Amino acid sequence: MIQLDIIEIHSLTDYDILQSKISPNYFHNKMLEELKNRIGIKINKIIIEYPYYDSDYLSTFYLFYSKKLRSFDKKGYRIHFLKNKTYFGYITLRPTVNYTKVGKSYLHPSLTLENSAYLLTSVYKANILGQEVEVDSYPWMYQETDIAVCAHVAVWNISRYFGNKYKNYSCVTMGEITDKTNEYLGRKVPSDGLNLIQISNIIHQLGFSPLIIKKMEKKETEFFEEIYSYIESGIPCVGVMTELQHAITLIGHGEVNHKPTLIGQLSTFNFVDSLVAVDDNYFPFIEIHKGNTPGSIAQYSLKDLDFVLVPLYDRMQYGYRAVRNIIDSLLKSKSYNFSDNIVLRIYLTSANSLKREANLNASMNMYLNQIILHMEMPKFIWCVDICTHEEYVDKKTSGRVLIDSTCCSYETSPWLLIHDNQKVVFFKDEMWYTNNITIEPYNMYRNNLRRFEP
Amino acid sequence: MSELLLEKNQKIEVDSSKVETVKLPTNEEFFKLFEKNEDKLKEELNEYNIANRCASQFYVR
Repeated sequence: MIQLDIIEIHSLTDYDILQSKISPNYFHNKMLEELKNRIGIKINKIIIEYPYYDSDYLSTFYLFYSKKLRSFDKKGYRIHFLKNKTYFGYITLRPTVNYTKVGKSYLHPSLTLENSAYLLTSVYKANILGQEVEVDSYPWMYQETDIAVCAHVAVWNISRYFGNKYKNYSCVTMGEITDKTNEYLGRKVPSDGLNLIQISNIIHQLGFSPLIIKKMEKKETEFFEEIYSYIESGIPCVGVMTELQHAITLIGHGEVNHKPTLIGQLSTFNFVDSLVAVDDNYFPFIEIHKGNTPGSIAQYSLKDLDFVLVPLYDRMQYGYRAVRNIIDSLLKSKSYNFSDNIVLRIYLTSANSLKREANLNASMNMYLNQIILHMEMPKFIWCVDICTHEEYVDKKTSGRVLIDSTCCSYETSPWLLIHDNQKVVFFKDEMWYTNNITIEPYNMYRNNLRRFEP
Repeated sequence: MSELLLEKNQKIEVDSSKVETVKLPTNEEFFKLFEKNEDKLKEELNEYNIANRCASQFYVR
């Protein structure tokens, strides 16, 4: 029978009760320390559910643990977190070896964030004795080592994120991901690690069109601006640190700060000091700073990142670099009334989301609004918001460029629409039209990432 | 079931006095700059090939 055990949490020492309630095979001190240090007294109630059959653990159980002389239990625990009656998600526990015992988990970011942040999240459901509860989260687990390493976990959480959020993708178990791994040099199980081609291949098998980006010498800024653009597009990316032989998933960024000393043409990456990641070595939602920051949970910084894998939709053919390049020519040509002190916000979005948000945007010029709502677009489009520094901090824009993401890399007119504060030019029935109208700054498109506070 | 509100279903009057057709959305200077930037773009797109070639060398665990 499924049993629920309730523990009231009023102080950090109350977490020690877990040790007496959970079998030692499922319990590890590192987990207890993370519960105390990262979640602490942000919650006041823990529910221990036993037994819980976690589909991800079962998938690796049948593939790996069931073949061992030592018997591994199929059952697991599920630990739910609540503050009063509000549900804040769960972690699962599995009887695997040290440091690997926390399996599939969905925690609300406010539990473990140190500072406010903008994150890619989705709503996940849990059923507790017939009651359905929901939590806004991003999937996370510790790695199982032999059967699944950090790269498997990164691919798994990307699959769980897209599969839960969009009907075009399926949620696959960790066992299925391990099974999809192409054998290269060495064995598939136990895994000595994956190379980037193997990671890319698994992502490809999940229905994505993966892009591998390398940090080139003296092009660090461009590297991070490109990653940031994909994160702002709502795409979680696998970040690779080759020196540390480690992979994480980049899923958001830290607070957007006004930087009054900065002038000229800036990318939005200039306005943040950190990215947020899920890492299978720590509880989720850790901040990764641009430089080494004392007291930071992550023992590395963005300087350690040197490769990124971006799981793109297969019809996103026109890439970030082509967009950046053509926008540069557009701005220098002075075809439009853009000032020299501007912020460029470059991101991908679906036509449906862009139109939905335009429909709700009361601050947008009505004529511009009508053009966007009626325009024929591919499934995904590149959107470039061009605004002054002040407008950006105020989350407004007075210029926007919409670009067809299905066009060819060297296309000279990939535009769907361009507007500054004086005119709008748009493509309709194979013709270009212009209308000289004043466009006041309007609310920026904010749909892909959600703000969370600690 | 949900409601469908159609008050925003207005026809875009592309032939009204305020709207004009244009040959291209950008000026001639743009095309000169684009051509000048083409080599830079080629180089930048080639960096993806370099990334792919390096990708088999690094293992993460």
